Amino acid sequence: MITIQNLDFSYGKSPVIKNLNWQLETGKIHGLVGLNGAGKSTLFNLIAGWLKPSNGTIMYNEIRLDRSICALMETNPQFYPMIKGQEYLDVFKLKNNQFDISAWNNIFKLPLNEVVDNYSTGMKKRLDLMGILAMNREILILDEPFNGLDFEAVRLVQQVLPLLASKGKTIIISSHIAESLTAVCNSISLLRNGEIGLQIRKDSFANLSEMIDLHGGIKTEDFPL
Amino acid sequence: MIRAVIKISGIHIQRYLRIINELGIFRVIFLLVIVAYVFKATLQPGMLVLQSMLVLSVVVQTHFTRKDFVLLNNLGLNTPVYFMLLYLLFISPFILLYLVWPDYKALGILISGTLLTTLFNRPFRKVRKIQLPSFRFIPAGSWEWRVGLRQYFPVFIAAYIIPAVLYQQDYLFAASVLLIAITSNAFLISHEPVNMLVTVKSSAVACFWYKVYLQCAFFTLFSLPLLISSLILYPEGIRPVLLLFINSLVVQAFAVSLKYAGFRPGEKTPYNMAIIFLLNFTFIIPALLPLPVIMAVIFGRKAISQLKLIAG
Repeated sequence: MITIQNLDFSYGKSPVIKNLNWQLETGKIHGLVGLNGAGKSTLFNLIAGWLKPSNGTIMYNEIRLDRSICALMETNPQFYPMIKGQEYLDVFKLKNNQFDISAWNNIFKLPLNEVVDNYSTGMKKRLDLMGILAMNREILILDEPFNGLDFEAVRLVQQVLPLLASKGKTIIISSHIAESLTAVCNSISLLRNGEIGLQIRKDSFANLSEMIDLHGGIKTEDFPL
Repeated sequence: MIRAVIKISGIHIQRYLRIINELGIFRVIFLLVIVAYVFKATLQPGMLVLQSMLVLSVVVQTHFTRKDFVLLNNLGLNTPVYFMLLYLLFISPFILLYLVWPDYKALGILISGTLLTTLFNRPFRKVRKIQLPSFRFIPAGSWEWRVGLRQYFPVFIAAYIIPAVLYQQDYLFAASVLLIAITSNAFLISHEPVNMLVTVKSSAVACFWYKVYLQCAFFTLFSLPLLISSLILYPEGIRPVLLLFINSLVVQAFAVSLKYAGFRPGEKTPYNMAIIFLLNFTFIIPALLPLPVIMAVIFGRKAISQLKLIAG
């Protein structure tokens, strides 16, 4: 179980995460939705240990979560300029020699001999995901993994994530499109005003939109039409 | 159009001020000293042409690396007239200077070069689609060298061929070592994403020393043929060549320290090259030789603490 308790974080004087509490079962896929600027990426950075909270704890199976068991995929993948896809993945093989690049590339279908600068947005995203998979960490944190992907690649991600969860990986993903999360997640949480406002289990996904609307979302009568 | 130019110029000035603010006081002072020195050195009869060419090069570089193609197209401003007005506004102090001095040659170069530049208002594709060479013998953890050699291998070939052909000129061996040193320093201006860095070594300190080791090892490897040739052909002149090599080796370590002291994942820090470039020449004045060592130590400590903060 990943247990986040009383988490606080601010950028200067602007608080982003405020006394956040969140519990996530291991070996499952957890979705996170929220408005732009709600603090999803900040929360992911805090869980991955890339940022330090000003207050609160993040525990993994009752011990403090160590950043070495997390892999974070950023919304906009960054690559070293002029690096080839193969070279990028070679770096991750340094720590995980078992990772079979060509077998995975049969699925991801990337021109690994081409420099990354020539890749499309979706190809960069797929390469980034391959790197994350090659890291073979216990917790995978994917910040908007569906952004910029074509429908085939979305389907590919939707197929690979449950397989990883079945191997014991805990996956936390965010998206602005609730439908892309309902297809893969075991639970979906709503981040609002710096805290988890709502956590919905898979059996209640049918009512997801209504529940988000009830929890402070925009109502149809609010539109100035 | 003029209102748009003034408005966008204001935005650009504010943007540049923010960038300068981000650089920090040390880098700003250093850059100001260089700019002031270059300006003063070129403010002499006959040198204004060189100055105008330098200003023009800044305009050309800014024009071809801009990222506002879509924005300006949407606003209907991606036209030569817009760029002419914008750039003329920015270079107007120099135009006035050349008119008052007067140096019409410098004025002509600056204005004609600027106007010519504004005619190219479509973005260039930076990367060729042809198959570029891979250097698989270099370890995966040394992505700077794998990528750097791919980009700059003609420079390395030239560094070997020129002294081989003109072997009677003894200074060419030292010049080639210097060329390799500066080129390999330039490999360090691009910063990798954090995920790559954390994969190389388990701790920040180990990672830093591994990167210093790789940079120095490959620099030595690629300089060695030139050093050996120089030793065989000109044994009496080996002392300055060795001095240059040792200085460059320390600067390699400093360049790694400087990169990680101001580590910015996924970004580029080309302005670091200004100080690195100058330090490569400290071997000319022996009294300055400890400078790269001192700076490598100072920035090395900063680099380790920065890496601890970012990569754990």
